[in-house]
Amino acid sequence: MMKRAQTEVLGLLVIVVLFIVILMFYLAFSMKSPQRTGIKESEQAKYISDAILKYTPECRNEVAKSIRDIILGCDFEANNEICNKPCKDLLKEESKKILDLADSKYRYDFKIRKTKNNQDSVIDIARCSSNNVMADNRIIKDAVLNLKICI
Amino acid sequence: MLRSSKRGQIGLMELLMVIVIIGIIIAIGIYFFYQGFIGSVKKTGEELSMQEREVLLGMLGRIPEVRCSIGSRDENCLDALKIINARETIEDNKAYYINLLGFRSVKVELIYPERNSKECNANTYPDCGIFKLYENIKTGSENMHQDASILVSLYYPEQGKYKVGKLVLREYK
Repeated sequence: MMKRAQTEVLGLLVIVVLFIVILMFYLAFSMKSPQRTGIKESEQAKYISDAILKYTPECRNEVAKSIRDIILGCDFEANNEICNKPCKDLLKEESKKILDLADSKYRYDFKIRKTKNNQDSVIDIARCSSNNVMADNRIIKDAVLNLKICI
Repeated sequence: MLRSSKRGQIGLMELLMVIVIIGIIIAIGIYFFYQGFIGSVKKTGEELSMQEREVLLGMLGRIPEVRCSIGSRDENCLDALKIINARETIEDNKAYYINLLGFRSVKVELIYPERNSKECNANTYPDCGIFKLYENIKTGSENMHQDASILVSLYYPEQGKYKVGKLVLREYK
């Protein structure tokens, strides 16, 4: 009679111990904090946008123009020549080269949209998709620059 | 009487074995709990340290010692000539900057349209590509470091050109 009671108490004790062990594991794993994102990525996006917009490509026999000036002078439909190259190609080529130099731990989405006579023309330079995105938008007269960092 | 004593001993042995097994289970539980706990604390520490480096980088790109200003307007870029002069200012006020930056080094590398491994100073500028801004290396930790970097626009005032640079912050452990 005594032995049966002892066995039941021990069984209960084992269940309680197992429960405590499982609880400890749960606590250890639930204490992992979620990844913090925000300030640093938005800063990165601002700095990258500025690096692209201010950059002055090498042009022979032409006054140095920044990417910002090239966007303003570029007719996205006619694709006129600036710096001895079709302007859309120049914008795409230079922006892509600069974007490739940015922090490789992120992926980037970058496009330049220009509106003329209520019609949108877009240059797609890089693409990425994620639920966690940090964006920087710049409006330059009739053009909109949209840089997203996919985290 | 003897048979009863033997049964009691067996019961006691069983009890001891169960207690030992329970003890082992508790010990394994505590070990894994602390492994997980210490691991998560280390990870959080590294994340915070990384965030601190990136916040410092963002701040360093805006200090008046290196920031471009055209007329009275501040621009979001680094002035190459100012960086060369800032090195002297930082050396002259080293105590202040050590308090601010500690065991770290800060430099700007020219990365586009060309790279140049020559260090910049008043004699080598503009035919150079490494602008050292601050350096305080911890003795014995030269190879134990963590880096953070950010793309910056680098302005060459005498040419009126903007190039692309990388602001690099190296933290010594």
